[in-house]
Amino acid sequence: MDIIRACALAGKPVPVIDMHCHITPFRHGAWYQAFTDTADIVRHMDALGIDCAVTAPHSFICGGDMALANAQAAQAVEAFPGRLYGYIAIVPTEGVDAVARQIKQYSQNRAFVGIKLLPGYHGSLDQPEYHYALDFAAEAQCPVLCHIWRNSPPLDEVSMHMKKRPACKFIMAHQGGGYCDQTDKAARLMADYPNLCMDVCGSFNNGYGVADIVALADENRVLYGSDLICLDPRYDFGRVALAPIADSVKKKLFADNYLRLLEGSQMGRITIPQ
Amino acid sequence: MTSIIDIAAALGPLSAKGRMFRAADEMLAFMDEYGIDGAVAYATRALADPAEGNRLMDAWAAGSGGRIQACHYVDAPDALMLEKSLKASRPACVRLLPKTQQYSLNPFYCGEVFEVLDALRIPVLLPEGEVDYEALPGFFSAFRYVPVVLLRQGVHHSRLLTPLLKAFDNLYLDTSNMVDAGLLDMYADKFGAHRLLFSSGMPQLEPCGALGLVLYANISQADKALILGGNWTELEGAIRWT
Repeated sequence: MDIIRACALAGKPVPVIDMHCHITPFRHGAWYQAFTDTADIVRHMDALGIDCAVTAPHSFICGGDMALANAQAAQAVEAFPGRLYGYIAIVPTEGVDAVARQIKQYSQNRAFVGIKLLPGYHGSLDQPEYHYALDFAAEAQCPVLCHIWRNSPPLDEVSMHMKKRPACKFIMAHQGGGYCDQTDKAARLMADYPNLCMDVCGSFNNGYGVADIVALADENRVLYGSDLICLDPRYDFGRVALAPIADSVKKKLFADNYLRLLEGSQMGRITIPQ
Repeated sequence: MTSIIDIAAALGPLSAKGRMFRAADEMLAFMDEYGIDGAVAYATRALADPAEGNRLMDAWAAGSGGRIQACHYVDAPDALMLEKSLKASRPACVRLLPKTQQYSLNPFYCGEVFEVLDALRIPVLLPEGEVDYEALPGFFSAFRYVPVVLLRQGVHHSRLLTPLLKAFDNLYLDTSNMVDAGLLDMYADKFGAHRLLFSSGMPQLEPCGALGLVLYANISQADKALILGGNWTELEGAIRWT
């Protein structure tokens, strides 16, 4: 049996970067978290052997408050250096000027490594504010993590964006939308755009296992994220750690693929503690 | 070594696209891949033809070397027939689909059937989408002994599940979809790990995520062993056939 899988079956930690994480509570729509304090989140990361997580606070989802979310992220990354990194949260309803100010402020913070978008919650991906953020990301060569659930936003909008900015390192969250049919479409899109990636997070309704997803997409462009603390991180951790795929591929999903995305970025970088 | 038993598998063709097991040996090979020792399964054939499907499931279970146990699909027939049939075939549990079959868990409608299940103490599995939370308090108030396991609840259901767990000792939860952060640990701590049972989501889902939730839970090894298999053995052993 592969080493990572044996460790996982024995309940032992496996080194990992969680590239899709949230801090602060989120209760709207009957979500529930048994713990919400950032120190508790880091303790849960310790229990799983998660070296670091990249976060966008929940506070920009409903009643979206971009400045609050980014300030909370800045506070958290300062409190837990090397364990937490930040995405610059973008809320299009606040306008292009406000988005530009947030990007200017936080792109200078070396603990912020990319951009987080929540189309679907915040409308279409085809909005001027998102175009501004995506132009910035393409130029800065930093990753963009984009929420997608059940074709919201439509994958056609992702295609439109990638056609315009093929160099953009764009990550489709939730395996492209959380269900097999969405993953099929997202994988087809990835074949057209070499910088397009997907993460595995929130896969509890997806009939595809990680082995299927890697086979459909590309083992170099599938990333581990958990949606901690919107979701329990142990589900998707198990999906990767226990998957019937080679350790070398798991290593790519858990850390290497994300670290490669950060290469050449003008924003912050992640250093894995040895 | 902890024994892992999946309490809610399905055997046979499915109408939805995805993984399916057409025979017991396919399921056993899949279980081996993920270290799952035993499974409780119903035959999908039973959805159209309960009697034939349940017979088929019994045959598959009998040929599995004890690794697969039969779950019978029950379509709220008359109480006498149900009791005779269950006592003759002795399945490990029954699966009810009240919403699909358009009956209610309110004792007024199927009270005699539930009395049989209650007297036998046979575990009842209620799948995702079949749970009517409005009817459950009345059901549990009337039937205090039959162990009822709600399958794939957990995400977005905590506000309904918590009062039920507090009020009714014969309510159990399957952990396969308990993806609200820390909910599994909280329930194990507050209500006891004996209220939780493992299922993997197979065949349609692969078991890795559900296994990860339990293997990495912040609970004792003894509690993990209960969830992964011990609790099922206990429930199934408590059926009163005589």
